[in-house]
Amino acid sequence: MQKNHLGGFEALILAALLRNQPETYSVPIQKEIERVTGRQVSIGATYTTLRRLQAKGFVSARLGEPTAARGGRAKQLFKIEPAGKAALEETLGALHRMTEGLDLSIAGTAA
Amino acid sequence: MNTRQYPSPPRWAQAVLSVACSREERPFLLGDMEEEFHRLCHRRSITDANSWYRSQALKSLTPLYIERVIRLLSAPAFIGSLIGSLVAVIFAIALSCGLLPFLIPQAMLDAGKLNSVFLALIQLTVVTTSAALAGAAATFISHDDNPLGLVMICLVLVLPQLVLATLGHQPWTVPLVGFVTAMLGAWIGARVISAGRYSAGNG
Repeated sequence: MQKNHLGGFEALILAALLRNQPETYSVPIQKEIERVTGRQVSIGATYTTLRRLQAKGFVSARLGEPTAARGGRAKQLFKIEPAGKAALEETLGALHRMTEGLDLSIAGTAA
Repeated sequence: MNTRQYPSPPRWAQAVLSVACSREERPFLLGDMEEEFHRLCHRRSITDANSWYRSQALKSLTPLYIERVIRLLSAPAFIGSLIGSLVAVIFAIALSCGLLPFLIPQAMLDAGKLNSVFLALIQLTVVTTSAALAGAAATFISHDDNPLGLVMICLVLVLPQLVLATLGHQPWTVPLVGFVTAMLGAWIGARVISAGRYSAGNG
């Protein structure tokens, strides 16, 4: 279970991949996170995190076709793997268990 | 595939991103950015698209550089880089010492005709040439652009000037200019080797 531990941004990336199934690339992931969380995210951060997740075996990538709109460059499409889903479930479960029963309202923390 | 019908993203932002990305990821990241840039040109305006591209390029610098440093420090790449850097630094020192006698004619030394500007130019030439060749060597040995090696080479090459400046024997501008020209030389040397390797790999 220790290996399945995810950082906050890694969990967001995996969740964005789940929301854009079966596969997608960096820009829709970055947009999805910005739209849903309101957090400003750069393509560079998205890309480096995807690479890290790929190295952990949580995400797989395949080459797409190059197009003129991309200056003739190939696209890399990412897909969440079963290990990635399990890691996300584990991380969210741990967070849920840690916060269960806590009063997270502003009034609660001030008291 | 005709790419001429599409406007180009800001050149400087593209250049900044190209330098920050690793060679393997460069085409994918630049491609994703360019695709989104064209979509924004079409849906909004070129001004909005330019603004988005510039902002993304600048915001991406920190994560991209952090990732490169992490990758650089991870074994065995780091060991390769370290060995490459050390060999290149030794090479750079030897080259500096070897080049100097050829650049300063003995007659001028004997006659005491060297003025400070001429001497500074010679120093810069030696530092830049040595850095270029050492940068190329570091890149060749470590099989990557090796930023650690380039910085090490440049620091070693300007070390005598740094010592002199610290002791107050010369202004700080000399090691600073020396470091900048050395970095430029080392970077050009590294790029030439990388480009050669890349062409050979694709040819």
